[in-house]
Amino acid sequence: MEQIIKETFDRISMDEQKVNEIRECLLKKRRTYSIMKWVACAAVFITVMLFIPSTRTFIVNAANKVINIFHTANGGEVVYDEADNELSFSITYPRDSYVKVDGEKIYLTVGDKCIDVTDYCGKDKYYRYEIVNSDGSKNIILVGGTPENAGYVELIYDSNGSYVFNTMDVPCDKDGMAPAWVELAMHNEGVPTGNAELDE
Amino acid sequence: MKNEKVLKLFNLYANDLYRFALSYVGIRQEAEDIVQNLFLKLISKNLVIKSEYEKAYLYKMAANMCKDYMKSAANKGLANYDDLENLIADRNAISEREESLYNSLMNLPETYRIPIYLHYYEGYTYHEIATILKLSDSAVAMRISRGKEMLKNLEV
Repeated sequence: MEQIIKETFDRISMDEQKVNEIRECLLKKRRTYSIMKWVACAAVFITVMLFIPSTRTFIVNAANKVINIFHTANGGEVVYDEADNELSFSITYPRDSYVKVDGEKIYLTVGDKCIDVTDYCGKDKYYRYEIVNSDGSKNIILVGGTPENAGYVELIYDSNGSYVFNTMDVPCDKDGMAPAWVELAMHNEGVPTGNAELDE
Repeated sequence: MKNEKVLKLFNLYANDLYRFALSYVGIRQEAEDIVQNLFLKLISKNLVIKSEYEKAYLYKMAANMCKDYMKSAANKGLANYDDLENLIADRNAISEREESLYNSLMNLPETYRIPIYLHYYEGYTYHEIATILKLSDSAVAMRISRGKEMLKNLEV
């Protein structure tokens, strides 16, 4: 049966015309956050400057290129790169995680704070920590999981309350799926989770 | 995700995802739309997927979108599938056995059809199918076993 199923489905492929149509569509489509997120990025850029005054922050302007670099609270670096009407960004993971595991205990560490969040964390449980900056922008740090696979998600919002981006350090399972708490936490915060069912 | 990256994923997996969506929804145009919407969604998402997990992630996304379609199709009373000859360019190349297999498979309830497709065509393990379809390993094993029996009874 396996053989006949293989032979039958091997014959099926998408219509070439449709393939080309989708390719063109994908090339033309700009990411929805392109403009809005850039504007939001500028707000966050200011936010982070206020939030971490000592941070090395700069903008590079060239004829057709704008690079915006800033740092998160724990030393991570986010680079927004706008060139030829295309926006991209890269994230360098921070030197210090927001999560520290000591034996069976999970701690959230941010600045000089170290909070025991063990009781709030689990496979589908997480601890929520919110930092509101003077301009109204905010960083939400979500820590969850078990001591064996604890991780964090950081969500950054601009001063209008619009979600800008996230950074995360979460151990995935062998199929590449993030733990249940991540999907739940991001969904509860109203940001895209990557799960089409939840996001719609 | 960057357009170039999405295009690369499209070139790699579009046909696999199309066949998967087709095995789910049975209708060529709907399967094509699901594939198109899936990749458009990827562009608008801030996602970084490790390359070794890309395929599983895309299948999971496709499965969610197909489920949504099936729900709405059921609500609208739509339950049909395109004949195999409408899906293959060279219609003369289709054997009776292939046509019979395809019809039998598409007549199986979705519950059995999808795990059978993923296992026998894609070669996924029960555990991998369980992850994609959000089922337990034992439920997948049971569905494949029953589905196989049903296919046999349909004289495949």
